Amino acid sequence: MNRALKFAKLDFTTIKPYLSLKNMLIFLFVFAFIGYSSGNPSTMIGMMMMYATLYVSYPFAVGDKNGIDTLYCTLPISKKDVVIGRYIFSLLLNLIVGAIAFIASALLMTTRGGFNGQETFMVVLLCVALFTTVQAIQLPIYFKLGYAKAKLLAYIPFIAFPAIIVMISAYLGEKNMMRYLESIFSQIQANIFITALIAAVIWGLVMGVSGMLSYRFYRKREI
Amino acid sequence: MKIVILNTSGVPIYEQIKEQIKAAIYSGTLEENEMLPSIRQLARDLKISVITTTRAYTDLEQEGFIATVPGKGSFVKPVDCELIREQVLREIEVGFTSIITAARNIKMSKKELYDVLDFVLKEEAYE
Amino acid sequence: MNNILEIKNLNKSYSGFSLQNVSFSVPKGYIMGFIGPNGAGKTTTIKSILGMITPDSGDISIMGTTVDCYDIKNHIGVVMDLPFYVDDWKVNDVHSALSPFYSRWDSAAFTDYLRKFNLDKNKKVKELSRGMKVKLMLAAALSHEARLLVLDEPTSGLDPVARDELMDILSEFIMDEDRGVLFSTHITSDLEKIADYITFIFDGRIEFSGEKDRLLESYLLVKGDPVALSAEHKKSIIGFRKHATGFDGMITVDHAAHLPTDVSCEKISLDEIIIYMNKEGKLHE
Repeated sequence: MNRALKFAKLDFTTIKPYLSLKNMLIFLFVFAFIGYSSGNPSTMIGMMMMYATLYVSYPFAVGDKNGIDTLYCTLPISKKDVVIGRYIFSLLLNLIVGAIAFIASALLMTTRGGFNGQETFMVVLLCVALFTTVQAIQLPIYFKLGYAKAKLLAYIPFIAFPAIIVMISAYLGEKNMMRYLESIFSQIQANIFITALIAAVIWGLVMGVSGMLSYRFYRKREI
Repeated sequence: MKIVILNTSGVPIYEQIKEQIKAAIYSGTLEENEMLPSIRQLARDLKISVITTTRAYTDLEQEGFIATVPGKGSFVKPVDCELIREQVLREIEVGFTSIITAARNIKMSKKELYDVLDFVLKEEAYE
Repeated sequence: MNNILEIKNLNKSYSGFSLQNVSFSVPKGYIMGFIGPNGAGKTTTIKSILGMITPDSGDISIMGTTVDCYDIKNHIGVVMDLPFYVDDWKVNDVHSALSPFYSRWDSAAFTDYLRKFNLDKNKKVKELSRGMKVKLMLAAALSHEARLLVLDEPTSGLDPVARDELMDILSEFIMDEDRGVLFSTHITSDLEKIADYITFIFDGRIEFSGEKDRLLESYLLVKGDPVALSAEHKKSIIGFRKHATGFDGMITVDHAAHLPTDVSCEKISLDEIIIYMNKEGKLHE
C-alpha cells in the first residue's frame, strides 16, 4: 500500500506542471461565472467534476508523450502498485475537486442568499460518484491501449450515459419520466440509509472490477 | 612512474605496460617495496579495461617482479638480479633465434651475420 | 555468486524478428559492451531485463535474484538514449519524483552530480541538450547505490567530449568490484578501450560473449590480391569482398596461418568485426 501511495504522489508530481496557478485561477473564474449566471450550483459542480475527469487522464497523456512507462519499469515497484496508485490518485483528485466544488457552491449560494449545506453535499457526492463511475470505465481502456489510442474510446461513457438517459425518457415520454423520477426520489428519501448503502456497494464493485481489469491489461502491455 | 600507451604500436597494451614497469624497475625509478597504482586506478588513468591491467600485473607477478597482497595492493619485489639476468638472457635468446631464422631465409653466411652484429653494436655504441 | 547479471535461454518472438536462446552473464567488477548492428536485439534484450516486455521463456537474474522481484530495481541504475522523465519537469522535480521510491536514495550525491555535470536545478528537462539529458539520467542512476548500471545506446547523438566524460564516469563506477556495467551501443569506439567483456548479438542470437581482448585477438583483417587465394582460402574468409583493386575480409587467426604470404593481415577493430560478420551472416569458430 505504501508503494501505491508513493505512486499516487508521483502522479501528482507528473501533472504538477499543468496545475499552474494561472490555470487554476482561470478555471475557478470560469466556473464561478457559470455558477453565478445560471443561479444553479449543480451545473457548476457538474462542470468541475467533468474537469476532474479530464485531469484523471493527464498522467496517461503525459506518460504517453514522455515515455514515462519506461520510468515506472526502472523503479522498484510492481505493476500492481502502478494500477492501485493510479486509482488512488484518481480518487483523491475527485475528492479534492469535490471539496472545492462544495466550497465554491457554499460561497456562491451564500451571496445569493440561502445555502443548504446538506443538499449541496448530496449533489457533490452524487456527482463524484457518477463521474468516478465514468472514470472506472475509462481507466481500463487507458491501461489497455495507452492514451493515444484510447483517447477517442474514452469519450464513449460520456456520450453513452446521456444517450441512455435520452433514450429512456424518449421511451417513457416526458411526463412519465418525471413521475418515474419523482417516485424514485421519494423512495430514496424514505429509505435513504439503505439506498446509500446499496449505492456504495455497487460503486465499490464497479471500482473493484475496473481495477482488476486495469491490472490485467497493464500487466500484459509491452512498453 | 610514468606509463605511456601507444594505440598505434603493434604491441598489445598489456605488453606495453609490462615493459614500461620492468624498465622502471631495472632503472631504479620504481624502488623496492614501492606500491604500484591499483589495477582499477591504473585502468581508469590510462582509459583502458580492467582486464588489461590485471593481465599485465598478473604476468609481472608470475615473472617475479611484483607481489600482490589482497586488500592492500601491488608492490615492487626486491630486484632479484639472478632472476632478471635469466629473464633477459631468455629474451635475448628468443631475439637471436628470430634473427637467425630471417638470415637463414635469405641464405646469409655466418660471417655476414657477425658483420651485421658488429655494425649495429658500433652504431649503438655498445661497450 | 560472481555474476551481477545472468541471462539464460531468453526467447522472445515477434513477427519478423525473434530473440533465440540468448544467454550471457556480466561478471562483477567489469564493464560489458553489448554490441551488434541495429535491429539485432540489443534493446529487446534490455527491455526483457527491465521487465518492459515479457519474454516467451528464459531466466534473468540480477545479483542472484530473479527480475520478477521488483525490489531488485533498488540496485539497478538505468540510462536510455531518450529520457523517460516528464518534459515539463524541472531537474529538481526529477529528484522529488524518484527519491521516495528508493530505499537508499542519496540526495547529497544527486546534488553533487548535478553540480559536477553542470545541470541547473531549475531548468526544465525539455530545455536540456541531448548530452545533458543523458547526464541527468546518469545522475539519478548513480544516486541510489545501484550496483548494476544498464545503459541502452546512451551515446548516440553525443559529441566526443560528452562520450569521453561518460566513459570516465563508468570507469569510476567500476572501481568498486561489487558493481557491474552493461553498455549497449552501436558506437563501438567507446568500448574499444574500456570494455572488459563483449557480447555480440546478431539477428537475435549471441555470436560471441567473452573477454574483449580475446575477441580482438582471434580475428585479423585480411587484404590483398584475390588471385593469390585458393577456393579453400576464400571459404575461410568471413565477409569476403572483392573490388577493383583487390579484396578484403576477416579471418580467424588459425586460418590466417594457412594464407599465402603475399596477402596482408592486420589487427582488427570491433567495428570491422561487426561489419564483416554482418556480411557473412555467421561466425566461423
